[in-house]
Amino acid sequence: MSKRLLKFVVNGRQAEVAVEPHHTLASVLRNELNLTGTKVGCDMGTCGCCTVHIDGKAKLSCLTLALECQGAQVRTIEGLNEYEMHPLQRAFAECGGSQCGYCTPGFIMKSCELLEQNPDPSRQEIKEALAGNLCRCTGFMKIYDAVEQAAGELRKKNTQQPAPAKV
Amino acid sequence: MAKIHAGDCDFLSGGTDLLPNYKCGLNAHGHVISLQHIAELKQIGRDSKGAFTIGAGVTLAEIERNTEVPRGLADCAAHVASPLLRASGTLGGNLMLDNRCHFFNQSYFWRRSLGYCLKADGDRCHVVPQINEGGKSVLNNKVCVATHSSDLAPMLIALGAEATFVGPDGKRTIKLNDFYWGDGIARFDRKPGEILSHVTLPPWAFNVRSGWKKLAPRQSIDFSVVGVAAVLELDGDKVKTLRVALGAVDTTPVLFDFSQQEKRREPGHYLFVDAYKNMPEAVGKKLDDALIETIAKHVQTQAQPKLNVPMAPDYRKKMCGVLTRRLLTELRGGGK
Amino acid sequence: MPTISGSGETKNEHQLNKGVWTDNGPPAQAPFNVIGKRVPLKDAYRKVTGEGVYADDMKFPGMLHSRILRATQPHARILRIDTSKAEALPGVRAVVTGADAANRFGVLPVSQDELSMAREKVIYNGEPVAAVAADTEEIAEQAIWLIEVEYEPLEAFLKPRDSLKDVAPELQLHDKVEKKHPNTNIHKAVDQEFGDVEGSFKGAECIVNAEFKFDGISHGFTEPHAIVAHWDADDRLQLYTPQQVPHYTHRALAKVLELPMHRIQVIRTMVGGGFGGKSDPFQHEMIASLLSMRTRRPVKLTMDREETFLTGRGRHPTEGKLAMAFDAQGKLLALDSDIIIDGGAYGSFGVVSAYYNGVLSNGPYAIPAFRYHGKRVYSNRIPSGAMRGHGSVNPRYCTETLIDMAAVKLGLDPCDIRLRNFMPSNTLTPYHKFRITSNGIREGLAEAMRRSDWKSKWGKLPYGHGIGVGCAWYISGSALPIHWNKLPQSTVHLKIDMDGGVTVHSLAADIGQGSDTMLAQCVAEVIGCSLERVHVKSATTDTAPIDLGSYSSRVTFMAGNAARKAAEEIRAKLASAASKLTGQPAQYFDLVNEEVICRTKPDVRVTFMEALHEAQADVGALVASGSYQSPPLGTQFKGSNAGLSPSYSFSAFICELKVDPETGFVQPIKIWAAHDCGRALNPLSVEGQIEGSVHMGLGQALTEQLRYRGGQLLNGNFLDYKIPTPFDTPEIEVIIVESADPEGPFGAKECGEGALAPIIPAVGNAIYDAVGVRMFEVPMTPDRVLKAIEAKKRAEAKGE
Repeated sequence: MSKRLLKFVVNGRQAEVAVEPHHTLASVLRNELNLTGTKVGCDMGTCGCCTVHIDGKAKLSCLTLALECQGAQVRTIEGLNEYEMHPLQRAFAECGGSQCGYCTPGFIMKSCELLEQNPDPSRQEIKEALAGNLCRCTGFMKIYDAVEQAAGELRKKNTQQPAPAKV
Repeated sequence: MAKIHAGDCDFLSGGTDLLPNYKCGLNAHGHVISLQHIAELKQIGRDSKGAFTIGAGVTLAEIERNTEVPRGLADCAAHVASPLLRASGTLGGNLMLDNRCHFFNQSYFWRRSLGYCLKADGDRCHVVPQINEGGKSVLNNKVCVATHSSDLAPMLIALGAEATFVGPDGKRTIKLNDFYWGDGIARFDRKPGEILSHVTLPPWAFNVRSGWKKLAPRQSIDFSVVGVAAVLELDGDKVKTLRVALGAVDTTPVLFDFSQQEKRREPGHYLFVDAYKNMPEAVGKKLDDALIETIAKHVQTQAQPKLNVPMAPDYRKKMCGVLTRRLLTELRGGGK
Repeated sequence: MPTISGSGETKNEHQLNKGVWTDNGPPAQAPFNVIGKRVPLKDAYRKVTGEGVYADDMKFPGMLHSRILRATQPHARILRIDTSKAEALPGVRAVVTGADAANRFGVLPVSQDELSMAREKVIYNGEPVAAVAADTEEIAEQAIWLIEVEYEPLEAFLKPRDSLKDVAPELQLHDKVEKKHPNTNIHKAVDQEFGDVEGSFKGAECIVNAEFKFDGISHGFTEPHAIVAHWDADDRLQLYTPQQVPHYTHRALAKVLELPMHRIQVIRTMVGGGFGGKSDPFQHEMIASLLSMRTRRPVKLTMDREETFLTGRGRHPTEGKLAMAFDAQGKLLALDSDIIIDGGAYGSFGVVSAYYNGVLSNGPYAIPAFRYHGKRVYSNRIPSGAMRGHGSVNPRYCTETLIDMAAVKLGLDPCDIRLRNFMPSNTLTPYHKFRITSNGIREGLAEAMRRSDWKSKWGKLPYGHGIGVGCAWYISGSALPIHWNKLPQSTVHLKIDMDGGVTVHSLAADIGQGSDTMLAQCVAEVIGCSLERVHVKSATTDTAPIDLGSYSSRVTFMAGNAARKAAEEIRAKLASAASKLTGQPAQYFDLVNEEVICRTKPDVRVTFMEALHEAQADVGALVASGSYQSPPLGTQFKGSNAGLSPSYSFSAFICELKVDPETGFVQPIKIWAAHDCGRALNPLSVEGQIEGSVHMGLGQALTEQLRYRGGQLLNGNFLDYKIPTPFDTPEIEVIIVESADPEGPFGAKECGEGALAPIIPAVGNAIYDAVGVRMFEVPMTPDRVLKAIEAKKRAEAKGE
């Protein structure tokens, strides 16, 4: 099959890649764009390791064909660490929410979507949001701690400095 | 475009069922046409004539969060797979979900080790290896019993939904219950090049109580191994409408219309059970515990789950009764 | 007296247990500066940003991709392999088969029974038969199916009891089997009897017995197996692998590839979870190396999830018949166990598993009379091996269930009967002479009872709602190395140069459990510097001194001690430098918080850097080496080494749950997990290990099982292999018990494995409390629970 040109924005940066039509977003991010922070755990949508944001929504990149992202805005775990680490990233480290680390990018991306929609989630809401992500190390407790800590930090940050007006 | 590739194309919506199957080399087609960017498929709500429609491209997450749809439907959508899968998975994809079987949903390596199966690359069924033909037990090289695992299908069938398709020959609308064929391979009545445009809920679906119960090994991620959808309308304490539909126990959703309004299609194959045989009368009767128990028993007796998805068939059969009883009791009390 | 803390009550500030530590280091009363603090893992920031490099993330110029062709038969003779079509496919660079590597290997020197790829016959469905290196993974995948293999099927051994039979030599899976049963497929038989077992049962007031069955389970780590092998321009092999035990892989590679060890470097990448599943030297490591040596190109091999399941080494499927005898007061008199474990196709750690399934039942209760008949058999299924709690978990379920049954029979509270039987601290077990040092299990169970409000719940909750207890112990490192030699089990090197950075070199593998952080903490505590100064290099065999790696819960105890010793050497040098600078005697100096302070005259102090630069005069970088070797332990009978450890952890868990009596579904509500880890060097990590163990144990208890159809694994994927999701995982309250082990680094013992076993019987016993049925099959799936409930109802209806 012949390659097609995929033009999209990844972590705020224009990307143009020639991709096979059957290649997934996960494989293009990892193999073509070297964004290896996105992990592939089960390759069938059941572990959540490969979660990225497509146009602001947390999606499984292993079940998304790359060409479906034509013109889309994609954000990966690397995109959360520009100029400073995202509070979720710091919180996952500080609270012990990451042990072997392989599921961590997926958990953080899904949690990030949650906090963007719901800045003050209850523990039950966190659980519900993360119910499609599997972690084999932590038993989830410290992941919930991390999301709660980050949520608190983000709320504090947002009250201190109101977000700049969208251009 | 579909015409050009007639016969050798698949339509891709959320991709949550198609892509895992493609990765296993399961009946992959040479061409995949994405429906992702068709805005018309993503509408949910009342159309100009006041009918409530849900576009095939509406995600399960959107149905789950929609406050207008019948509660049973929202609840049903909310329990499909996991939040991540519901963010991508669509109504259309869920209704077209390929039937599942542990001899089919396997890698190429695995299926090659087995010697393949009727549903992909092979010539025999390993779930029901022998069938009865003319009084003789013969090799089953005809009937695929892969389990229909969609959750929304039984729920929408219970709600009396109709499905509208568009294709090279124009538009057509059929009852969703008539869409499924009862064969694990042929599965449903979709013409080449046709796509599901939307489903339409009848007005009465908004005046009834509806509910959903799902049995799965885990509380997230998993497919149903039994799903029970029910729709109930009471006149005082008497039954006016009562429809129960089972998912994940047969090759199609199985509708029990205790209101006797809707007759089931003719059985599609040898193993099909007639859901209406010996059906207890319910309309006009008081929905007391005894009637609920009778109905639950009937559903349980009729259900014929196969050993091709997780959890043992006899257990799943029993659970059809338990879940039906619980759901009807809940609905009688007004639902959740 | 052990102290108690943990996630439930002291969330942020860890309470220090002052005054128990009687080591030779800093004064015992000194508060710790780094030890006992909740510190993030050293590599956590790389993981949360996606910067951490796992093997599949690596790219090299000219790198090839490989795929493995696996056996499609469980047991068959290979009549013919024809690779010519695969070789002819454009883009294919090399094809290898069993003919390319004749040397057998295996993690244990006594079971060298694995081939890189099958040669004369295949012995399980999924065994590597050939492999291809190609320009892309897709070409490699296409090519493997062009390899023609002709098989002649042989009778397959799929049930462990079939492997006990005498069979013709061609039906034996391996040349070397148990000497006592030379014509069978029994890999190892262990028979031990101590004390008066028969007499104890005869005179017992209460005898309980049952037959148990356990399905096999898998580690389920989230990172599928992946490696890169590079035969470089210097004719050296560089192998990038997520290994828990790089050293054994290093040895096995040398043997298979017939190279001196120094021409191989094993480089541990980040490990996306191990749990024992990445601790064997593996066929895929050999295969990628062979392909790289053939092509002189870097070769990457990434498995899919199914292949990762097929590579196996999970917990053995187990069948056991156990009996216990008690006196009228509930005092345990004897344990008699007869256990068969299904080893699958290879030996792996199996000889150890065969012993552990018996001998690790000698605690946490005192067992006056003990009999064990254990057999590990070969079968044509996925190889079993070491998995978290290796060898102790399934028999632990059996004994904890039997104790509960005895409590019911004797009218005792299940916690009380346990309290009556716990072994004391500072004791030797009567026969195996396991040396128990500190033991905080009493305090742990008492605290778990208090927090769970056990006394007002047990036996008193409504039908369908129950509470149960389970206790366990585990080794803190196997005292005997796998390879018998005089080398230390752990060595740690330290280097400090004028930049002030402290580099720790070790081959202890950080697999996510935080061993790098632990090493840094031990070093920083001794030399009084901040944790930020300490950099741990634990990935490469070229620079790291040998450490036996991350298995048997040995790392904190052994590598931690080695690090502490190396740091003591540096500490002495810094103290003499301070002495030189100030004129005060060196032994008066404490190293605390980046300063070297004179104890008798606290005004006299120099900074860490001043002392360092003075100490470096004339010698340059400060270097030191510390090592750890277990003390002589145990006694003298065949197999008496198995189960020996310099120390043991103890745990006592309570689980509250609900059972739906109509569906059989079990919903855990809360777990109280008390674990005696000696000292929590990093409570954040200790809690993480315990919470993770509980989650994994709940999986085995309720949902996880490897299901087969004949020789074929039915559920080798994360949809059908049921790891508990967030909804299936209840709140876990960790209770850290610190009993301060006399030999552990700063008093520490293990916490990563022992905490798995008790949750499974705690669930089983809680089910009994909830609905009155005993579960003898694990996992306790809804259909099994329902069957048990219905059987009980039928029996009650009959008036039994």
